[in-house]
Amino acid sequence: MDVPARYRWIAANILPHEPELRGWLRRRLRALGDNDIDDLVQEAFARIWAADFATIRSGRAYLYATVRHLLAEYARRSRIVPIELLGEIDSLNLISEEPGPERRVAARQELDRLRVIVAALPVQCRTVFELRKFEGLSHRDVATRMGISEKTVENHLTRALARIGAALATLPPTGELTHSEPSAKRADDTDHGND
Amino acid sequence: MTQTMETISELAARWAVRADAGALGPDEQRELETWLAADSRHRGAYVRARAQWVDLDRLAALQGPAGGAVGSSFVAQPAAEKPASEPAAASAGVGARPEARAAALSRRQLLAAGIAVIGVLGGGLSWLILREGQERYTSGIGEVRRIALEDGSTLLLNTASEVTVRWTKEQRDIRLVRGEALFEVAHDNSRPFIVQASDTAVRAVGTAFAVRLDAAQVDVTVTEGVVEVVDLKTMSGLGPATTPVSRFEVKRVAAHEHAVIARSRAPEVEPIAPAKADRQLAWREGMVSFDGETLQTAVAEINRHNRRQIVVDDPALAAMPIVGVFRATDLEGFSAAAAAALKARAIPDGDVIRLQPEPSKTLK
Repeated sequence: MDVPARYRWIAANILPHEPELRGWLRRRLRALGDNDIDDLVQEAFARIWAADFATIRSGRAYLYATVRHLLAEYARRSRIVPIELLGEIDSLNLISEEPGPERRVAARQELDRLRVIVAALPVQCRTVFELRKFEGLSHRDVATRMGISEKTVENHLTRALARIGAALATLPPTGELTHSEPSAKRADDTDHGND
Repeated sequence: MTQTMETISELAARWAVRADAGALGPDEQRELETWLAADSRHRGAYVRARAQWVDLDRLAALQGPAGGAVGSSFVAQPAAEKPASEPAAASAGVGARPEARAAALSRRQLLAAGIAVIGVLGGGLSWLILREGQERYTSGIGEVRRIALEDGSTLLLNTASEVTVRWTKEQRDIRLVRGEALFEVAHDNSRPFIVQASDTAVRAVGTAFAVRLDAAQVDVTVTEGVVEVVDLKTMSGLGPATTPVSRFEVKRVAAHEHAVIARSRAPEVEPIAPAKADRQLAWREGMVSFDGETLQTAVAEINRHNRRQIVVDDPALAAMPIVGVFRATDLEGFSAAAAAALKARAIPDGDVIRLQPEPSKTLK
């Protein structure tokens, strides 16, 4: 698999599961701050990138396994994850073993969400982004068309990508987690610090 | 843990955008390598940003007349070219508030535009025969191409498809040579938009519809407005302009309807649920979508989009139902998901991936 194909693989097999993962981490591991979650996700992507994709049967399962592993490392090293939450880490196993493709948010819904996110970008930023992504103009052509420098084009695109990426990762798909957590776990959702 | 997270994500986004601009220069490349090597989170953030950037390409497929306004005067605008005499259909979508873009062209407006088709029919059928000086558009396997036509219409080509276009004063003459295409037709009362696929002609003025040409049949799915489907098989001896329209099998197909014109049968028109139409047209977003179709059907569909092919030898497995939304070009992802869902194995075998029933047991 060449490098562009590897990015496409990540886009197809890992990205769709990020919002769910973040939602889960936020709810279950309250000791983690948003920065910690960002750290975890970035570490996870780095590890996954190093893997041989051909051997990965389910991107979702692999993502969760990777995160579980990282959490265990963090917990051992630095007590960032309080020890009583290790039980929660184990429940990641249960989730990760479910196959997930049919639970993916419908493509249409996802795109509707993207539209809203894009619409919320500042006007010039949005126009640059749309000319590049929707109209397929090169950076240079976008710059010429709008009478701005290529550096400015880069700045706008950077802002657009950072915002869209963050929004997509944070806004969980509709229906979110309730249907993906092991049902036995849901009963004690509010009371897991019992040891 | 750290307060630099925003910076990491943003830097990663910047590097992804630079990579998008073209190959990095040697200095930039070195700078990137240094940054990536400094912290494993940098690598992860960068991979994530690159993947997100790629993922956003699916957005492009959305940009038809309905979503195409893009709030920007730079972008060619189907709606903008509508004649002033059509206030209802014109101007919708132009300068629409960004958050309303998705719904800019309301169903009703498009319907109003499309219905005008009816009054136009009867202008002779010379449009069936003319052919010369045409434009040709093709898409490769796995490619979905959006093409803005000079009349303001949009053409979205599905995988491995070919369309020719010819403009005359009287009509917009399109031919689907192979594959599948979605047409979002700019309104022009004076020039009907005619798509011919094999023995079927579809005639519209301003509307949106998809035509798919298979060996056995032609499928027409209308998403907005109304079109007329003419079954040319019913022509008696190809007598051109002199043949009265009434001699042809003409079917009216409205939004949320689907027509099948099989080789050996008269056209059949039936309602299609919006959800089903969306699934059939999931390729607009680079996806394929199944809701209980057999594995065999699903594999045939996904194979259309890929050079590498999936093979299912086992008939019982081939008959199992598949549910899910998949990226059309992600053959590996589809086979892995199908294998997981159907307790099968996906075995790479040279040019193909074989899906086989799981042997009774013994896995590590």
